[in-house]
Amino acid sequence: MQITRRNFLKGMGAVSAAGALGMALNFPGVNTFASAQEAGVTEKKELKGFCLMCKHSGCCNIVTVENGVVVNVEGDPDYVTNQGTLCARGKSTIMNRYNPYRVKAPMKRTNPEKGLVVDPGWVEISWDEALDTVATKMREVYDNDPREFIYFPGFAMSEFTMYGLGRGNRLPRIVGSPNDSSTKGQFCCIHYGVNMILANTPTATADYRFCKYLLAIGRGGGVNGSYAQGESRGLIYALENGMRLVCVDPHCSTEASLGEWVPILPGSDLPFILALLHVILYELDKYDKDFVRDRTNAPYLIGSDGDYARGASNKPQIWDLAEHKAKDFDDPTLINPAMQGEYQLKEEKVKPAFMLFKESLKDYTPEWASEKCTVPAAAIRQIASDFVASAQIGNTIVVDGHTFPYRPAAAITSRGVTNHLDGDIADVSSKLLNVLIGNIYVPGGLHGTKLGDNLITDPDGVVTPSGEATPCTSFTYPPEHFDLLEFMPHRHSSNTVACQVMIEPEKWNMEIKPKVLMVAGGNPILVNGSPKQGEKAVCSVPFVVSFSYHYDEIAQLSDVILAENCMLENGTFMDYMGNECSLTTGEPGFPGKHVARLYRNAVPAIHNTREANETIIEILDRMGLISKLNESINKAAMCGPRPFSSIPLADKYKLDLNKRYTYEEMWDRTLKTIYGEEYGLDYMKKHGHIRTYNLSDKESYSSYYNNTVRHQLYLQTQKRSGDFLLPKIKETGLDGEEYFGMSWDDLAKHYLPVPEYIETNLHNAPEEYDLYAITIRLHMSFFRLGSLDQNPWVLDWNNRYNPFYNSICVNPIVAEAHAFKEGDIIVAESQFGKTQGKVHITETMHPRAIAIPGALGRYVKSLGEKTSRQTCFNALLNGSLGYCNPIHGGLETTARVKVYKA
Amino acid sequence: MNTKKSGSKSSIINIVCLVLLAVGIFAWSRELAGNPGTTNLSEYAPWGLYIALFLFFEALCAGTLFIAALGSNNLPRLKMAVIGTVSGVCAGIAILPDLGSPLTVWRLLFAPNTSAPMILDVWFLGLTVVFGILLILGLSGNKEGLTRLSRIVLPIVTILLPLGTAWLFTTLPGKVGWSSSLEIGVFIAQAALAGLCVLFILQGIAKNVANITSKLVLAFLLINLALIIGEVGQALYSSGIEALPTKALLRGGFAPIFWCQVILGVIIPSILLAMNKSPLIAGVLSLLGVVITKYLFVVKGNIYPFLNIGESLVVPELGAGNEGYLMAPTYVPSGFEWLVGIGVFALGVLLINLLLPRVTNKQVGVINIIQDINQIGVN
Amino acid sequence: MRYGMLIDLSKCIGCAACVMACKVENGTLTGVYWCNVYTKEIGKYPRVKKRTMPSACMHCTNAPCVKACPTGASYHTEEGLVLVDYDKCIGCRVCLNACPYNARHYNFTDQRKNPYYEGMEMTPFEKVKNKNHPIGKAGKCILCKDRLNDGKKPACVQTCPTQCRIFGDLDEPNSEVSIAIRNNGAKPLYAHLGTKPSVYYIGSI
Ligand code: SF4
Ligand code: SF4
Ligand code: SF4
Repeated sequence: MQITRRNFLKGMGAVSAAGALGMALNFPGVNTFASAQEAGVTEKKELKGFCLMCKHSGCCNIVTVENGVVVNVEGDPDYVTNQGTLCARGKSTIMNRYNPYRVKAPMKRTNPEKGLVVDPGWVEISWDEALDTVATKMREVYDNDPREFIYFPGFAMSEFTMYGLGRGNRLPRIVGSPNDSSTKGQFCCIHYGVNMILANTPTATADYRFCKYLLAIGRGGGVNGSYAQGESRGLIYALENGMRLVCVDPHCSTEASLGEWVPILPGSDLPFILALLHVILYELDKYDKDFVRDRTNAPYLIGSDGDYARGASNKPQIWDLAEHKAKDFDDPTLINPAMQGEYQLKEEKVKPAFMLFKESLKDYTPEWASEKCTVPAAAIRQIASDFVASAQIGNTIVVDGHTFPYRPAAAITSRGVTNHLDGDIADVSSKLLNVLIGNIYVPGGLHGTKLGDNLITDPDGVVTPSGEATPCTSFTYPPEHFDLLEFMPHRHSSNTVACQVMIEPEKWNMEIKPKVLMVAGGNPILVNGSPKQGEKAVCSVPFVVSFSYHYDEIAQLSDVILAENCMLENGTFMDYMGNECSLTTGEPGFPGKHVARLYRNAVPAIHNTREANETIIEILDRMGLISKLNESINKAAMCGPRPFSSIPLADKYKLDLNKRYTYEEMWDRTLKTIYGEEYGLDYMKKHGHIRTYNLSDKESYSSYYNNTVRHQLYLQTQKRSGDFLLPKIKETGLDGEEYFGMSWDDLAKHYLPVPEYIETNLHNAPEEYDLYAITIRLHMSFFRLGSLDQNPWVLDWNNRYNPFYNSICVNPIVAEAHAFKEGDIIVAESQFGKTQGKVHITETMHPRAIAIPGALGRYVKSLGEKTSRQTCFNALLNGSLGYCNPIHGGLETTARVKVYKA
Repeated sequence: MNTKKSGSKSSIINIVCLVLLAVGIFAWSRELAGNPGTTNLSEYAPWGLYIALFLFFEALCAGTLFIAALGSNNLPRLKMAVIGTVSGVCAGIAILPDLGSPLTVWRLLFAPNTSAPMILDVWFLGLTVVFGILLILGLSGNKEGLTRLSRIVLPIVTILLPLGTAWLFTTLPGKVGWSSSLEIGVFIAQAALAGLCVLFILQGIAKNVANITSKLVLAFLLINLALIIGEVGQALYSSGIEALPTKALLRGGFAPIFWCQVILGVIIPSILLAMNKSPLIAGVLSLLGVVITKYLFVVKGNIYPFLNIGESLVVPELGAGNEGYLMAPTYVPSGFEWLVGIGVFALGVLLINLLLPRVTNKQVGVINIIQDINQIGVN
Repeated sequence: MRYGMLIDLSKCIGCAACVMACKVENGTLTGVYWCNVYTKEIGKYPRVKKRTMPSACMHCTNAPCVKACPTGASYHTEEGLVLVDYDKCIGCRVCLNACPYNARHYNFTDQRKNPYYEGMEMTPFEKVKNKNHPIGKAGKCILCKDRLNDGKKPACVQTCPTQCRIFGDLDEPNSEVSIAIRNNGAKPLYAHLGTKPSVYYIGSI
């Protein structure tokens, strides 16, 4: 297709005219789309690619282009994950290409005043000018203090840098800045627990092939997200095969409707989980005792300092009841490890970790929990007993000729549990439920997204925590991370904290100030608990550049917009790490086959937009940093032999440091390094994907490779981290309440080695806010991905046929108390903000909770009037410290609210 | 009576009618152009005002021509033949704006699917209008042969006409609001009532209301009332889904119209007739009753679009349900639909006004009828 | 030969991928959904369930829409599809009333005046697909007849993430769909109306 300048000018003229009209970006009558039809030529092409309309993104697709017009997108039947299927989001992506609210060419602002409701006065500029401007600004920072360059990547539709130039931080590292902060982080802090207990990432997954009892707490198992890449199919398979699905949730979701719904008060998962642990230990006394003894650190003796008591060998000790003495944990003569009691080790009184663990749970009876979480005590007991009974403790199973323990029960959690001020503790505790029944990495049990040989045994015989759970060993003050990584070493990415600090870095004695902010595929305003805070933070940066697909909040506040392709137009690669809800689908061989490197053949762009990785390379080139980029790629290529890994490029594929390569060439060399000469770019263009590895079914279970490592039941690494960090923090002399939103003593409670209940700000809200507001996932609206809130098909169908869409859902009891009728416009107001929308009265809500489903609502009008008026859950939240979980940085995503008629 | 004056009044009426007709045609053109919001018809209310008007004109045509054909010569047969025939034409015209592709309407006549009940309508209405015209020619030109022929054919086709339409509705599967066989009786009774009303009004204008006409109108009003009571009673005593549409008429969004129909269209005229007061008002009200009955009948079929699966269904576009079953939103014709509907009426009035003075020798147009009504009102 | 479909309601998750697949394939007008999915809420708190009900044309063997159509515009193909010949359709909408499954649709508005993106012009996608939806004509699910000719399954069947739809020849007793219907005792919707649909459902409706 021929792109003519006329088309852009047309598009452009419309934009500035609209700007003059106060950002009501309406351009009726203007040819909003580049001319589609080439005179006389009929041409039909099918392009293989992959879908990225959700974060899971493991679906391959085939795009049909007819005379330059995309007329069809469907699943690629040749790929094992989605098998030719696509979900509604993946199907609807065609409309993204033709979204009139797109940024159609590079733009620069002419109005120096910035604000969400201030007309930026956009003027179209050439790519040359845009790139030069950006490169000059970045070079200035680079020459002065590169730490003042801030990079905000995101999850959004074209999460290119995450899968592209190095997982979100290659660019800032090349520039020399430690300051990258993924904008979605505060809503995505689901990794800490799985990093610590399973040493896996990003999530813990179930095993739908063998699981018979799935306890889903605050999480979906694939169906709620209608993932096409096998998870929806897998959950249905499991249910057909008799798996019991128990959903603990304030809302009866699609999954809860397929299984059994246990309504729970939002934000009270911690007491619920603690009570389950209590029942198992104190009432049932039934758990996988062999596993707890041999495969966890439970028998390790703990000294008065709360750490492992060590012997002469410096190894953790276990009390052997057979010989009445302490031995190294790996002493082959060890016969009967003590799990209870108190022993004398040298001058010290020591106890098995298990004792401490068990004692910590003593008071958490179902009755106690029931008052807090509203789940009846009897139901808690029933769930605990079903969970343990279903685990078939002692049973084994043969997979591919290998005998594994068979534990067909699992408890899974996700954002519904983690995104609370006590979410770290609740999430980790939920993992301990699994550890107790010994289901870790065995068929039917709990797994991590990364398959196969992953587990690294540390010198203490315990699995080395990965990623975000790695114990903290360094502290610098004043901090140099705007997101206060120094104070939150386990944070996922606390973007709202970063925004808060960027506004007044001097408050935390920071020596640097933000100078250049680059945003790519993220939106620090929209997903900030406090949009005003996000707006202020972005406006506080003298130069802001964003890669933008459409005129969203961050585009609105930018100085330069680098116009970005839509998903279908982005020829790019992705390192698909595997399914996040379930390892298996029920189809034999699935787990070991579905992980792949994906490639998308691009549909020619209709506007003057570009693929972002190429643009980044171009900027680095103009900054004179190409050699640094190439050096970085040479050392750590685009991916490694396993997901989330990297290897150096093979010698014969090494980049010449002074030559400029394209993004595709970099991938080409990476793939050839890993898979061999014939598996480069050409192969990918033709096939669309290449399997990351080929594991047999037994090999996909990590315990096949390592069935000796111990998992933490006693959270020693967490404690170790706290022991290092907390004194350092106190030394700064800062006041916890003022600088961190909580006292340092309260912070210390998050670093305990055993689970403990804590009261949080959520529970202490003023009484008038009598309800708990949550958000719930809709099939076509979550995570702010894929511009689904502007997609006309999605909007139209959901408004007509989905009663939950763009609504405020309340139980009839709430409706009656306030005399609401279905469809009334009501307001939900929290201590921090309010939103309004039409009420949907539904029995599927907990009577003390309301839900604002989907990721809707905008703070700008430049994406259409309709979009800006949608009901916005985030408006109810608070994005400042004190409402962020102090460990993983997750925002408290339950808000206490009151409701009334508008 | 000043002929000149009434002549000029008549042409004023003609002009007004022409204007209304033009406005109607304009509104129709907007609809044909597919402008959003021009009609309130939807997939859940595919039929509305136009079909109601068709049913009304059809009833008027059938009833009036039946009487005109069979009546004795002391009745205003010619006037009735004109009014009946024009109504038939109006029925046909009322359908046109309902068609999405009116230019292909010839297919109804020349390439029909003969197993579709709608084709009965086409045939019977066509026959009725043709024989209506023959009757007019016969009566006005004193051509006995034509009159006699029509006298034989018209009573048959004017009965078949509403029957055919009734079958069209009652045989649609799963349309619980239409499927009751009772509706066949209602169609016939309505046609009879409409015809009698015309006669009654004409006699009233001529100030020679035959006692028997008045009694017959009253009788058919009461028959209609009985049918309504019958339907309501059956609905109230039944718990099935078939009863829901009628129940919805009693309480739902259409309730004001329903009660308007019962009170204004049936009870008040009955009382007036029983007390022998304001016969013309009673006649006009009864006719209005027929219009509303037809409208309610049309909408009734689509109140519960989902049938059984409508139970506990939630479709925000459609709003709330009744007794657990999802209902379609209340259909009210749009402004454009009203304009088109009024245009059809205007066409009818225009035709009558043009035809009557020509076929009868004296200057009897609608103008005279109105004048007469006024006089009676004054009296 | 009679094409038909089996929908397993116990596997349907209400994701509406089928709805979007139909949109993509057929490019129906704004607000028109040949394939649709309805939501039900059954029961009272806490014993409540969301249920979903996918629905499209049932391609009835004894189709009331075909019978009621006054011009013969609605017809059966040899493969059992019920289609509309736009040339013959006069837009009387009796078929919308005749269909007990709400499977009939009507092109009320001109897509240029009511395009997907409100207040904008039609997207190139719409321009390509719009010719299949002439204004003033009745439309309906065409069982993706062009895809069938290409040897593919209908779009809704292919895209379903839980694979809850099976498509095939009902006249062939050994086809996957026939076997599944038999084995599961699947039933059509409103069998009592005598429409003899070619779409069957597993699970309570
Ligand atoms: S699940 Fe849906 S949105 Fe996600 S990658 Fe697959 S088709 Fe795309
Ligand atoms: S489902 Fe409706 S439209 Fe389809 S064949 Fe049957 S009656 Fe006709
Ligand atoms: S795609 Fe499948 S699961 Fe999704 S709504 Fe349609 S039929 Fe149901």
